[in-house]
This record gives sequence, C-alpha cells and structure tokens, in this order.
Amino acid sequence: MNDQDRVTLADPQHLVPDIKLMEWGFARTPFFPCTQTPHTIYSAYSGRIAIEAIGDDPVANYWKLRREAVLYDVPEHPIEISGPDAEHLLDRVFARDISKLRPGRANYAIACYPDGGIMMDGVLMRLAEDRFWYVLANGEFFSWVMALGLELDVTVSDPDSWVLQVQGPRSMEVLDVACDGGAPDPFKFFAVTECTMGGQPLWLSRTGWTGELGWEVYTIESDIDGPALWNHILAAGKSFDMVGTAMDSMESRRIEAGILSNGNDMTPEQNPFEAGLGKFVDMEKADFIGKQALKTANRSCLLYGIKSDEAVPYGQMMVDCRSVGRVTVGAWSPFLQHGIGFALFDEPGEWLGKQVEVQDSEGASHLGEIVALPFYDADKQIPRGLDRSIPSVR
Amino acid sequence: MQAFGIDPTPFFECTSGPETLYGGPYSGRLVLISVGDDPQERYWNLRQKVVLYNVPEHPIEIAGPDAERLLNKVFVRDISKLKPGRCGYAIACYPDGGIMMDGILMRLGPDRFWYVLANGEIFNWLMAHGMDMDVTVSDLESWVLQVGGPRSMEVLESACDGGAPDPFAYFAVTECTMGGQSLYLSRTGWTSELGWEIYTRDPDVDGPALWDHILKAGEAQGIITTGLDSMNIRRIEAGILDNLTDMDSSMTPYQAGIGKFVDLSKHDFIGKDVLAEADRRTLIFGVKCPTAAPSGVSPVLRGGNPVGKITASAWSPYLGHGTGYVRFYEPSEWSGTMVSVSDENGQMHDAEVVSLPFYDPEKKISRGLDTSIPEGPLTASEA
Repeated sequence: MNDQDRVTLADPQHLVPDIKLMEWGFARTPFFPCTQTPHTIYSAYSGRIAIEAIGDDPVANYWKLRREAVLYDVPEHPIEISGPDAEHLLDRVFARDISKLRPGRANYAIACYPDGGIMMDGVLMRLAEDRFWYVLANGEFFSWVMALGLELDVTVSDPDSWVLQVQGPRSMEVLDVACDGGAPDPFKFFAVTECTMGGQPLWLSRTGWTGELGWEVYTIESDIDGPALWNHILAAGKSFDMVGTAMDSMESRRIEAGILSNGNDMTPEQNPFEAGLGKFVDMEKADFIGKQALKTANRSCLLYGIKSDEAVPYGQMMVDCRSVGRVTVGAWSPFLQHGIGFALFDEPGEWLGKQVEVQDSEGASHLGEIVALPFYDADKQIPRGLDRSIPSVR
Repeated sequence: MQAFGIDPTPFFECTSGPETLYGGPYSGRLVLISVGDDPQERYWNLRQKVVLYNVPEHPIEIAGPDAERLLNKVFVRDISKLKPGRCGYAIACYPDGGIMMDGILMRLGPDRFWYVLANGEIFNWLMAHGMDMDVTVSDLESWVLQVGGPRSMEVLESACDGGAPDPFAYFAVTECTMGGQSLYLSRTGWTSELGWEIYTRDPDVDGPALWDHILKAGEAQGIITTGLDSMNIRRIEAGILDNLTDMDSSMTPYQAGIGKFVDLSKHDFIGKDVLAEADRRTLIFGVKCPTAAPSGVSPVLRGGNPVGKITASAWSPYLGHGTGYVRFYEPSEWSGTMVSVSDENGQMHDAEVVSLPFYDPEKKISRGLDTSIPEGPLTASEA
C-alpha cells in the first residue's frame, strides 16, 4: 500500500478527528490530480470523493465566487433513465409534474418515501423526449428507481459521468471562451444542452449549488481526459480572474442561498413541506409515491435560517432550557458579516424571530436568531442573471 | 451523526490513533483497515487464540406479516425454510441475474428478520418491492462486532451476562446482554474460525463500555483487537467473497462460485428466469503462488495473454505461500493450470490455479468440529 493510495478525510463538523482513508470502495474523480496538494482534505459523497479543502483561503475564494468566477470539482452523481416509459416512471417517483419538463430543460426534483419522507433531491435534466439524467445528491436511489421500473419499458443506468461547476458573475464570459465555438445562445436559467470543450463532448446546464450565476458540465465519455478538461476551463477563465478550488468556499454561499444538502440538512425524517420545499410538491398531480401520506402530513416548515454575531456552531438548539431542534450546518457569511446556518426544529411553531441558544460540542452556549430562508435574493435574481451588481469585499 | 459523509462507529474512539487507517465507505460505514500493527503477526492470534474486530456490516430490519414473502421474492434461496433463531447466507440478484448483495439473513421471529448487509444498495430495493405488502423495512442503526478464533466460545461465556447461551449451534441467533447492554448474538463470522458476532440494539449504546467489557472478558484467553487487514488473510484462505470487490452485478452467483445458494426449485424470485438458463461454470478461483503475494487488481497471464485479474490477495502465514482470488474472463477447466501473477513491484511469478477454499471445505473449524490449534506454518510435509 502506497501513500498515494491514502487520502485524509475531514469531518466538517469537527466532532471527530481527521482520518486517513485507503481508497477502496469509492471512486476517485477524473480531476483528482487537479486538486491534489499536501493539504487536500476529502469527504465521501454518493460513493465519490468530494474535495473539501485544498489549503487555500476559503474566504478569499468566497469573494472570487461573489465577484468573479470559481471552478469546482463536485461529487454529484448522474444516473440515466431512458425508454418509452421514462416519463411515466419519473412522474411516479418525483413529487413534481415531470410531464411539464420539456426536452432541453432541467428542474429541481424531490423523491419521497411512501410515508412522505425525503429520499433524494437533485436536478432532473430532460435530454430528449425519452431520456433523462438525474443528478443525485448523497444517498441511495439507483435501486429504488430500478425496482419501480421493473415492469416498465425503461432502462436505469449509471453513465459514469463526472461533474464540474463554474459559478460566479463572470461565469458566462468564461463559458463563451470555454465552449468550442462559443457559448450556446440562448442559454436560459435551467437549460440543458450538449457542447464540446477542447474537443471533449459534454452535457452543459445552467444550474449550480451556490445561488450565483453559473453552469455545470457533465462528462459523457468513459475515457474522459479529466486534467485536460480542467485545464481547458481554467485557461478559459484566466482573463476573468477565475480560480479552481474546493467546496469549502462554496459552503457559506449555499447556506446564504438556502440550498439544502440531502442527508445533512434534511433526512427521511422530514417531508418536503417540513424542509421548506413544499413548492416543489405538486399535490394536483395524478399520483406519486408519498402523495397519500403528504395529504394528511404536517405541512408546517421545520427548517429555518439562524443568524448570530459569530460563525454559527453545530449543536442542539435550546429555548428556555428545553431542546427544540438542532443546527444542521453553520458558517460565517463574509458578505452579510454575521454567522449563518440552518436550524431544524423538532416541532412546528412560531419560530421566526425567536432567540435560541445553540450548545456547541464543547458545551458552550451561543445566541442565535431564527430568520427566513434564503438569507438574501429570494427571487433568485443573481443566478437568473437579472441582478448583475458586484458586492464589494468586506 | 455523519462525519466525512460516512457514519463513524460507536467504537470509533476505541481504535482511533495516529496509525489508524480506514477504508470504505462500506455500506455507508467506515472500515477499520489497520491500527498500525503487523497483520501477519495478528493473524496468529486469530488462528491460535481470539481477536475482537470492529466490522462495518450494516443490519436492516424487515418485519411484518409479509416479511417472508418479500424476502422470498428478493433472495435466491428459500427463506420459508429458515426457522426463527436461525441465520442463512442469502444473495439478492438483479432481474438480469447479476449479484446485487450478499449477507447474513437472521430470522429473529416468524415475522421479523435482520439482514446484515455487505457493501452496496439494497434498502430502497426492499422498500420498493415491499410497497404493496404488509411489511416495514427499517434501519435501526445497529452496529456489529465480531469475535473470532478457537477460544472465542470461552470469551463468550465470560462476556454474556449469565454465561453463554446453551445450546448455541452454528448459525444460531439469539438475544443476550453484555455488561447490561442488550444485543443480538449470532454464531457467524467472516473468518471461518470458530466465532460469534453481536449487533447493538439500543441507539444510545455505550460503544466504548461494550468494547472494554469484551476485551476484559477475553483477558484470560489472550484476546487482542486489531484491524481487518489480519481478517482479510484468513477470509481469503476460507474462500469468503466480498461484494463489489470480488463479485459484482456483472456476474451471476454461479459465476461467483456460490451457485449452491440459488434455489431454482423455489416458486419465484427476482432473477430466476435468467439464472435458470445461465451458464453454471464459475469464473472465480484461488491462486497459489509459492514466491509472492499477488498484487491486488493485477492482471493474470497465461502464455503471456491476460486471462483474468486478481481481486484480493495476501500472503498466508499458515500455508506459507501467496494466496488470492482470480476472476477469469472466460469459463474453463482452470483448476490445476499454471498462470503468471504480478507482485506489488510488477515482478511476475508462477502460480497454480486451485479451487476454493484453500483448506477446510467442510467448515469443520467454524463449526467447532476441528479444534486443533495450528502451532505455526505448515511444514513442507504437511503442505
């Protein structure tokens, strides 16, 4: 066993020490050498290595993301659902109406367990009438879709595709240089199309995980030259001051934007309404798994934002010395200049505006105030490209 | 709680140290590969005394009036024959006959089963097939420890509050408490040594207390704890396959050499149609290399041509030769043929293809019928 077969995994909550991991049982990204430094720290996600940190300054990179552009290697995992019954199957699996999704478009889709609990969330892309890619968050999903499609004329497969994100106000300028022959036009919010970059064929979508203007590319060929693609995009972004870095700089921004991470901020214990995602549930639709249970389930939101004077710590939330829930993720917002996080309550209540105490892992108490999500840009004017203002570094 | 995107175990602090090396995730759990000691040396503790292992297996519960019906649909063996208080090795296949999962199925009551998963996805598969049945599939967050070795039953006697259950037959499962903590206990393992496994039942289990309780119970028998690297040597000798390492969805149980666990006489199960017509010949064999341990995932050559690849390998301290599994690309009468395998430096070595396991095909050791203790490596005349 060689040292290069080992990676260091970090606990984002810092509750347990970093560990050394032998790479066995999960897949290394084709972009692995591009972010490999003596300081690189990884985690596991959807059976893939996620790049947590590469030893640079996440705050400086946060400002790159807000002001210029950033390239990220992300661990999302696309699966393909294709065949004449693909739409029928997906309409049964997802809580929103898939028949309304047109070829060349993507949307955010949630799958529920029969009891209405959240199984999976992700971006569903309709590549053609009978062909979809679902870009998975962390969790088990493949066997679920396959089992439900057994009697249907549909194929569920893993295309072994890998995903990069370019996000930030200058990302569309980067795209124009990165795409062979220039950026597709039109290329609307949540559009999906084919392109090539440096001759390598890719799927391209105007989506992301930051609430910034941005796009994602999905590799198509199994013998993808990862470093060539990474370097091609980096070179395209050079005159726009783009950097390539790890997801630690993404974290504050996705919290600001109210973007949830499946398995962490929401679990099968919550239904989509409780996670504040009720608008992605179409109760008018004929039928989908979980619909019956959701008819009578609690529809009050349990997930809110929490702000404080310091970086919000992970831990139990207390009101009047009684545990009322927990902070699922916390960070410092360089833009808002206060601590931000997600607060998941055990019970519905008049939580907005409430003061809570968060008990960190050392037992120390921190004051926080419950606020609505997202922290700003509720109309998504930034990722839609309607708000082009560039914030100053604070 | 998740850390690193993986669930650490309640025994995390018991084995955590600067030399500790993990693998995985394995069914969403960390695998304790090594604690920095010498697996070749620790192997002898497993063969001569007793070892405590923290294992990443992941039990899920299938319960309700239709539990047996659901499991009979999903697994390739006849679950109706499994009696309460007994365990069976059970394989689930995809509709095309490819292996989805293997593991130990424990029948805890007429309507209540635990399936102890290897690596892979099966939870949502069971949930989907059970949706229109009166059955509940749940993850009770149970964690598993294994104690293996010829003195393991003596350790069990001290570890169980009130002494070991009696009788406690091979592949039995029962309830017990250890230091007051409630557990399930099965006479199973992943080493083919005499041994037992326990499964925590309380979500608030005190992991370190249970760990220390077992170590203390085994003091007189010379119990030690170590990483799975020493277990790996023994499981290869025993021909025990690891899902997604040695076998995967691109092979049928027949191709993996575990076709005897497929019951084609059973009414219906997922994959049956394909398996009934499938080639029965195995693709997985052992390789015996006198001069080196074959390197993992290296090609196997015959007459200079690649004919298969190594999936797992180790130097056997007992047999005194390199052991490993070769997965051949094509079926053939491979047993007895000579092949070339690569060591970790890329040096090629001659090796002989043998059938699995390397010894004890009747499982006399794990059944407790062969209680002889090897004093050391086999001598040339014994080999």
